[in-house]
Amino acid sequence: MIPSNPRRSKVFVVESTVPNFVHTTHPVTVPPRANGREIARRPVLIAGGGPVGLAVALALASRGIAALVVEADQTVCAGSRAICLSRRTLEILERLGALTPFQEKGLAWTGGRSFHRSEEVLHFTMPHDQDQRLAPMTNLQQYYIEQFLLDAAAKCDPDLLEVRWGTRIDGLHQGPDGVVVELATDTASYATECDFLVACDGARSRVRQAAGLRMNGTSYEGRYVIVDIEINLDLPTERLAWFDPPSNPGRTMLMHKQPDNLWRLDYQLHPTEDSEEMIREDNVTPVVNAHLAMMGIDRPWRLIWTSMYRAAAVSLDSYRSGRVLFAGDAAHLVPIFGVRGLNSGFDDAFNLGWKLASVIAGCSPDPILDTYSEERRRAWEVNVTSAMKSTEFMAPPSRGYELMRDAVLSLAKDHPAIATLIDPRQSAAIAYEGSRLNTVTRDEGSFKTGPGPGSPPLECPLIVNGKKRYLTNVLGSDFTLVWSGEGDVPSIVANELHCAINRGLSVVLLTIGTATLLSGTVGQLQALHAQIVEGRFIDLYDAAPSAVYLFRPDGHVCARWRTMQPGDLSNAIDTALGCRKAARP
Amino acid sequence: MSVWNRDERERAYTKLCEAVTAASEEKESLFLARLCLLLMEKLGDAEKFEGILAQAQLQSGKGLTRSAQE
Repeated sequence: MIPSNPRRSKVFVVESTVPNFVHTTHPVTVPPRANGREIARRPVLIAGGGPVGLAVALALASRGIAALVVEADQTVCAGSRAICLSRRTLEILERLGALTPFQEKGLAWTGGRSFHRSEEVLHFTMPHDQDQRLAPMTNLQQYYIEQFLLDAAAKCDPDLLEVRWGTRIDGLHQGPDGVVVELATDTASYATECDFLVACDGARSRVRQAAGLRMNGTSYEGRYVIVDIEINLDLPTERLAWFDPPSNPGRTMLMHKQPDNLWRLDYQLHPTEDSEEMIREDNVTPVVNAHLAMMGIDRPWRLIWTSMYRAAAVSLDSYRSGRVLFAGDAAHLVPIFGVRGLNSGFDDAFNLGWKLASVIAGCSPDPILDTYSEERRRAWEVNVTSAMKSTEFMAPPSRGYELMRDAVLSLAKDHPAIATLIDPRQSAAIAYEGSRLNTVTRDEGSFKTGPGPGSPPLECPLIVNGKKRYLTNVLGSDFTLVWSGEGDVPSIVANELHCAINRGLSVVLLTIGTATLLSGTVGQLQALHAQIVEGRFIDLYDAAPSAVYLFRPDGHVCARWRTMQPGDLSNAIDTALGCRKAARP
Repeated sequence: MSVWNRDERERAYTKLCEAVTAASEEKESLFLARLCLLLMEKLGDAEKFEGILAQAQLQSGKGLTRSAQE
């Protein structure tokens, strides 16, 4: 039996204000109606104005598809909830035109330390080398995440993106041509129609309940108290973990720095402790005081927000039910350890955005929406496998895990190999291996390394027009063909690129190194030429002596070749758009 | 010195955790003792074994024994 709301069932807001941030109360608006029905009809209605819903709306707006976002509250979220943004999330935010404030306000970090009792037993770093431009992790309170996405939304054409506050969903009816959604404010009820409804309304999704769907999976017994405090500490941004610290024996404590002198503390409850009692200020204060004292900190602090968390690994079987699509916590939950919750929600939004836009624009047939569910449900399974490993270590589910964890902690300091078992596997972008949008070419077997079909883009420095750029910020909005090798790009490839453009797709052709594009074939192509930085593209993409990579709209690789033959490119683009049955060699 | 990769180690570790749980609390010491004997035979090296034995021994104030003042 899965509780209907496995996460954060109880929230205790101590202070109504957070430092430096003003929660704007947005007015409730009711649109022009006829016979109780909204006159305007948009292709997409998005339930939930949280980060995932706003990301879907921005992804659609960037492709010229109009969406209405309905949000039950009148403000961005109150307490700080999700706080860690992965590198892949930053790439997505950049593509949504929203990255800059996230980088300016967020706190970037690259590693962390774990302690057993008072001894440091692990100092880990996440992959962050000269090939990267975006931090592996960035800490930022969720109310800023939502606000910055709203700021980006405010720059969109209001006909393409409207956020309607204080409006909840009371019911829905799916018909052959669309979905009729019952909306309600405190003073009015009306219906609105859309072609597709995207449910991004969180773990307690009303849309999911209205559709009669349930998430299945595992809920864990271990409970964590999550606390945000305001305190001025001159400490670096890193992930800090204590197992059985002398200040709070038997507990596991986690500590993360957030902007505005906010600090997040998470600690596990003992099985005998009562959840509602333990999130009260008088029970939180001694735990925090003891912890700060152990760290040698004697400064005033203020409690901002506490809540209780219980890890759950649950998901809908399918993220699509006819014309209703589910994304983020409305579709699936993963244990928090490794920060795969909100980050996987952004991946959902970015995966769904281009597919939904492609169907509405007539470039893809309807079944491509099934691949959204297939790819993201598979990603949830991978995420859960990784998150379970972290959870089993942070909150041992049985005697065996507990005993072995204590043994690992006691040996970790002197045995680096054993210490790797403590290392929290942090969220990483997931490859859509086996997706039917991939084309496995005759050349696939000749690639020993590099991103295969379905892989997320692998970051790589390049020089474009004399400026240092990176692969992930030269990818086009639809398809990008990266051509590396000697000599001219064959005119047949240029012709096929033009065919794609004539279908309304945008195509970027990036030639690399000594490859060149015949000047007569440029036409409407967005042609870029890049020089290689220290051979990195060749190494990272296994591109010697030649390689051609095709990236789909969300940046995932959909096919790669050594040399191309007529029809290869058109077939791969058709396959990625869901226009043909996947060709398998 | 490890010849296996991180995934292999993690999988083995998870199996070990599950096996300890499955052994039940009253018999976990016996299970772990049997496992050590089997690994000792597999190692088949007296000098290495003595080194490992010393590393595994618990010192006061360290390892798994919680001291009184904590």
